[in-house]
Amino acid sequence: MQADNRASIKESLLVVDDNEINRAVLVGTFQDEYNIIEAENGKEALDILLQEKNSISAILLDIVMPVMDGFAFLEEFRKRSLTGVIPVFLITADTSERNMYRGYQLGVMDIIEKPIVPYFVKRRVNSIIELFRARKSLSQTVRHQHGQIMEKDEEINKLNYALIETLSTAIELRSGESGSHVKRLSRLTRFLLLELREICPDQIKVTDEEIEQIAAAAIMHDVGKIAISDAILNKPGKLTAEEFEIMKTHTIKGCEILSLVPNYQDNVLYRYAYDICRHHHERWDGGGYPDGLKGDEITIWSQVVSIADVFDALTSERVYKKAFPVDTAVDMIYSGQCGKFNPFLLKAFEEVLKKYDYAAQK
Amino acid sequence: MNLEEVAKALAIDLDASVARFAGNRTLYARFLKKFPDDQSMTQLQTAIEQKDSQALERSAHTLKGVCANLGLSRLADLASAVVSAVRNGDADSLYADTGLLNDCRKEYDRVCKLITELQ
Repeated sequence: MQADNRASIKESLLVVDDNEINRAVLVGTFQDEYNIIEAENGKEALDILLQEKNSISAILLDIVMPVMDGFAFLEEFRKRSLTGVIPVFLITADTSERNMYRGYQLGVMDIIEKPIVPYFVKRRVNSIIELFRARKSLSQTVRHQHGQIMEKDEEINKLNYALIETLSTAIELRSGESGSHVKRLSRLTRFLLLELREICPDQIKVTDEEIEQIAAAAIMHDVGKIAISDAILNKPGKLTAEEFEIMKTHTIKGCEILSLVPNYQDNVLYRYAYDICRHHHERWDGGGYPDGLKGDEITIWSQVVSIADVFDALTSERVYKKAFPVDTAVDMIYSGQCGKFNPFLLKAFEEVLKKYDYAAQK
Repeated sequence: MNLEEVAKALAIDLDASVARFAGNRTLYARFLKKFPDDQSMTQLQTAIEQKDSQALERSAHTLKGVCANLGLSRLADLASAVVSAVRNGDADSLYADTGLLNDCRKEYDRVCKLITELQ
């Protein structure tokens, strides 16, 4: 239906020649198929073009004209990035080699010699217009489809994120936490990375997109707790040494779970999630677990998640402890009671706490 | 004179020329009758008088195009010869030896005269 409508609306041809007789010849040749707009020189043509850019299918252009000649018009046409958008044909009595070179270099599609033979000119002009039309419709289709794919992609990402969050919240609830720990952790991770990038842009080179990916991956940091028994996970008191050893395995178990998800290895989040699961209990001085990594051996994202995790655990109520006030929690982190952290990270942490009223977000 | 007679006298390829005006003889005749009003020959004369070679090239070029479209091939050829002469840097000799320009003017006058006789 749409194609029929389009065919019934005549497209326009812009005929540019200072001579009335020459224009009449071109008008006579094309008036059955096109709506013809006439201009007497390049300047007039340019003015018309800027108003009717979208309805003009092709330009038939003379070279020698007063005010603005064909070549000057082509220069202006190119400056406005219209070359390749609307096809231009030079219609000239002067097909000297020099002129033809210059015309083609300025982007004309074809050069037609006067006197024209209407049948040939129609064929030449129409086939180029058809080519441009096909190219335009193809690129519109591609743009449309690209938009659809991006929409679907966005949908899938949202769904992915929702599934990850649901699963992580379920695990969290099982260990008697409020269910919003992962959300706060993800937020704090994002803020810390943004701050770190600002403080030391030379060392911390992460893009906005990577920060979002890390913040999403952070949600999965404790996924391994699903493999820890309720008796240990929900034990109200202090864990025995043996129980603690089992508790520590949630880092490695988390990685095992992630590696079992089909096709997940190809996902951008996987690289971050795997690393964060395994290393969010490592400490700057090598005093953490499971691998006892030290300093920069620990990726910056795992370092960020570990400080965020500690801070949020301290300020929240857990089965084995009451919630500490923010100030107390900060003191405990700075004094090393929860293990050593990267000095840069502590600095960023301090700034973030200043900028965001963290207590109010709870 | 009718259109065929004028065309014959001026060596116009009538079919090809009418074809350029959407195959419409009346339309072609109307534009042929407008030719004596076309300014390119006047501009060419002025350019010669003022020895302005740029204006000469431009007006001869325009004359060539119009004549070609109307099928006035002899005059188109003469105009084309003027364009070539100017481009070859022979403008000065054109002004001195006016043979080509005279031919051009004579053919132009003949064309105009025959066109005015067209019924």
